[in-house]
Amino acid sequence: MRLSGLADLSVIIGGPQGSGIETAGQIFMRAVLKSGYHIYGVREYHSNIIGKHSYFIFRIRDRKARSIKYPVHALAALDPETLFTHLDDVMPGGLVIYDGSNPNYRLDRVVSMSPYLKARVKSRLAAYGDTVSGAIDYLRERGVKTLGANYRELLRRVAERIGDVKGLILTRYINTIALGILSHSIGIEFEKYAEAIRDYMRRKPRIAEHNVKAAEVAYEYAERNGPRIYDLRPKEIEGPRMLLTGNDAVAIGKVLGGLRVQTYYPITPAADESFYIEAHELIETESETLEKAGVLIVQTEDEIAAIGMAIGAAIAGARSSTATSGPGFALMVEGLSWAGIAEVPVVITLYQRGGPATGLPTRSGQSELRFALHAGHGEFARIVIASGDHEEALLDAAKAFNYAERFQVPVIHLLEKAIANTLQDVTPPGREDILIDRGKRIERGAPPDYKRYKFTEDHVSPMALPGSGAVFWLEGNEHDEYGHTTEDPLIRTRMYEKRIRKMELINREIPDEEKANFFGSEEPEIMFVSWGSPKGAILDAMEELEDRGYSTGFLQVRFMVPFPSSLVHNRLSRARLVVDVENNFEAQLASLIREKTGLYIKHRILKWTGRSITQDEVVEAALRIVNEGVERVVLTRGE
Amino acid sequence: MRCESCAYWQPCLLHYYMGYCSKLDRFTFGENEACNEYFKGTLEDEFFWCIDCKTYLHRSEMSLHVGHRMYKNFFIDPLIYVETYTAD
Repeated sequence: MRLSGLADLSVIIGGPQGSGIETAGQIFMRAVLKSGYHIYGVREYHSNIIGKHSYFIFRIRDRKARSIKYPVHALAALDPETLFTHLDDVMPGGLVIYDGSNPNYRLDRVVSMSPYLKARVKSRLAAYGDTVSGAIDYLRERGVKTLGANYRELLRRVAERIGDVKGLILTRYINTIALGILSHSIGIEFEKYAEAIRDYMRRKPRIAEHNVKAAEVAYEYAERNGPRIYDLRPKEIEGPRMLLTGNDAVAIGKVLGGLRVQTYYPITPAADESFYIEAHELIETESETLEKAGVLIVQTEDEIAAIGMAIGAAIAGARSSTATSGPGFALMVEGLSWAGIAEVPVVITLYQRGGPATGLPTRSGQSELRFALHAGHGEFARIVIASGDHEEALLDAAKAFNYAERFQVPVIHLLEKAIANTLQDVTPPGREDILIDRGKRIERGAPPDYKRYKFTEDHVSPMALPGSGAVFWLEGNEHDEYGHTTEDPLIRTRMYEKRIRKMELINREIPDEEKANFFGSEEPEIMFVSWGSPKGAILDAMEELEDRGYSTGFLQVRFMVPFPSSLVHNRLSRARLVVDVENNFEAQLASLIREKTGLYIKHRILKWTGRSITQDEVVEAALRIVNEGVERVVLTRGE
Repeated sequence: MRCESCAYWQPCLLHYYMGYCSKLDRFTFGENEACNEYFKGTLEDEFFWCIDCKTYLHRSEMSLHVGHRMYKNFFIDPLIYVETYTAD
């Protein structure tokens, strides 16, 4: 195992949902950052809330960590289910840490495991016996190191070290112990681990010290018994870093972009964004007149109300948005159309998860591209942006308000659970990265004959706010320049055209560099095209493919409306081999490219299990396409 | 006699081998030798928690859980919400 050179390792920690995986993950990520490395952590969890298997898979690198990769170097299993579930996820030479106190625990006793996975595990263990000890034999035969730490014994030591504390809930320390042993095995210094605990639990110093004691027990045990499989020597990380989920990134972007009203109805994986804003709703300003500014967060009775209130706030002049996922967005569609005809600058953050219907509510997907493009009755201008990582998500969330207000259209910001619930260390944005453009706006002194929908050369009418002195009408019917209902065919023709022709302005004013990113060789052997969360896995796969002698390029489409047709056509039409990568069945981006450019993309790498696309999957699939001529590769990795 | 057969002992929802002793206000392992406060529990109630199936069951379903370990209640960490995600 590597002891020098560039660091790049992956680890998993898993256990029953609710047993401390989140806290353990947060502490571990901080310990890695404090040791000077970059980290990327994907949360996977079931929708039953408590008890079923959940896990974090982490990627730790010297360079930016932006995707996950199998097999992993180490697994810390809090319970037997984790051991059975990730039986084939650890590489030879890697390490599995498990509870060695009950080697005879049978697979059949794991009631929370799906019968399908259980059957697969059972068949793998057929020659070894379907017990913890059988699983360990299976792993050892494959060259995986194992460490059966007796969690009960270690917990006893933790209890002794903390002292006779009534009400001490000992189960809370299993995660600290397992992760402490894991951290030791990959070379994280105890001081960094302890510092991370104290940092994460800074508001509960007593609990933090109990956890530090548990970590001491774990490190002492690992020092005597645990193999060292990696050597993450502490070093300095360049520049300031923020450890954020995608939800946090969007929330911060919105606040920095001037958000004043956010509405939501709770839904996975969108709700955490609103919770984050709520937790930080008062922010200090540098204004001489305003010491603090706030964001109004409203949890509405449903998504219909959420979009309605957000529209109302936008009309009142506030930068407003709502956040939801597929089922909630379905309820917002009528409101979206209303915003379209009334030309309301509202932002909808749409987190895609595994549909249709409730589908896989806590898993990821990219199956709502077409939904975002076409949601609504009638035709109207809109902007649809798709972010590919946390840094893009933060800036796009801020810029979405500029687009909405500058062009007076609804903006749909597309993300996925794979970004929303994934943690990554991020460079804080600079002041120059976020500029506010409020468009044509009349805050006071509106002219007496004010027309809300005045015909203008660029089709954008000055938007007066209530209280500006303007009298105006807003409605869902077709209207004249004042906003009065009319069914006059000539006004209808002109007003309809005004609303839709704004797209020409939008397309002209948003530069191509914003609409798409290009990475890699100009004349590559393999040209990837994708959108959203697969970005990180593709970029990492490109590095690996380049190391193997293949030249690669990657076109990341960021704007779905307005679509950068010429740019996409120019890039793809001269490529030798184009490979579309998406988290859906229908290759929705490929079909959009066909629609907008006429180009047909034959080669596709697709995944709809709800799990993130991984670096190794992209590499393997690309090589199959190149070497075997396979046209469509379906990915299924990850439990 | 072990803690796990004492009426004061409630098994942990997530880690079956540990539990909360409501008499001592303390976490113990089910396999621990019982203390002087030991009180033999009885299953005279309407609903039970089956450790083996991690489910509540009604008295009428007892025949489906022959040989399983059943308790009147289980222990759940009051801070478990910190560890769970919104999932709806």
